[in-house]
Amino acid sequence: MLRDAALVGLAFLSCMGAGMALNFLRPDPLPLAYKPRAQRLPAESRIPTVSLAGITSADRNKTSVFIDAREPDFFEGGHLPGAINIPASRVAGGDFGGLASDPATPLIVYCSGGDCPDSYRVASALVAKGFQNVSVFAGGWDEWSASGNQP
Amino acid sequence: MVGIREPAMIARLTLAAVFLTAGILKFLEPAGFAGGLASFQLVPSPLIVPLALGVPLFEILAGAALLGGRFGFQGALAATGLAAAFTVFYATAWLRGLDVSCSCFGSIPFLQVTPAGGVLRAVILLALAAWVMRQEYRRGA
Repeated sequence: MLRDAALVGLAFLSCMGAGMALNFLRPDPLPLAYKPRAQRLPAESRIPTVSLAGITSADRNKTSVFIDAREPDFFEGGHLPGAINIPASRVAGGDFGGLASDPATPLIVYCSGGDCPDSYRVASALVAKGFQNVSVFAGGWDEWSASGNQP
Repeated sequence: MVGIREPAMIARLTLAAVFLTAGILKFLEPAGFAGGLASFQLVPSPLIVPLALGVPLFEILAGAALLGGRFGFQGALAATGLAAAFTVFYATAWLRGLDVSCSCFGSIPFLQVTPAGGVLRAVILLALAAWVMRQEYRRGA
């Protein structure tokens, strides 16, 4: 049994090595240092990001509409003040939840935080729909709630 | 007459099909799988790309081992380890309220699941892999 486990472990490490070697044969090899989604987007299509300070300021001045890209269960558990829930799964079907803001209204999209992809999916869909001032709060709900802010 | 080996064989081939499919789809879209791994916020950044490139090959290897006879136990052992890891990843994401997207089956829409669905899928896979491993161990003993 131990010998089998060692064999499987060795196979795992060999696959890591083979995967890295094969990567160089790909037409579009992955850079070995992982870059979060926001940094991987080409400059012309990059969605601007907003920091926690920017979010706090936007909340105080009521200058932006917050859009929560998480699923409704998470949204109901807590969200940024006044946020509208537009989950990425709904946007894929063209449902923007009745969002009727002026195309110039600043929209700030967030999801859980870290490298969660849904905020970028929703933000890209909003840009494609004609909204001109869309940004992403990359820190998301995790950073907002960890900073002591309450819904 | 249905022999005692048939259920074990069906389970082994099902497991092989799942891992071969998942491995091939991830191998074709390593960038999506890397982003998915990162979204769980469990893997240190320097390990994300090596894992995104290596895990698909390991899944293909495990699936191929399950198809054949000689390395069936080792294939089932690898499948059990992978399924256990998937279970931990999805369960912790669910508990932390993360909206993860592992791209475990590439970008096929109907195979994308919520964290709760991911836990369920991983637990079923873990139970199947553990059972196949037990059967293979008995067969070899």
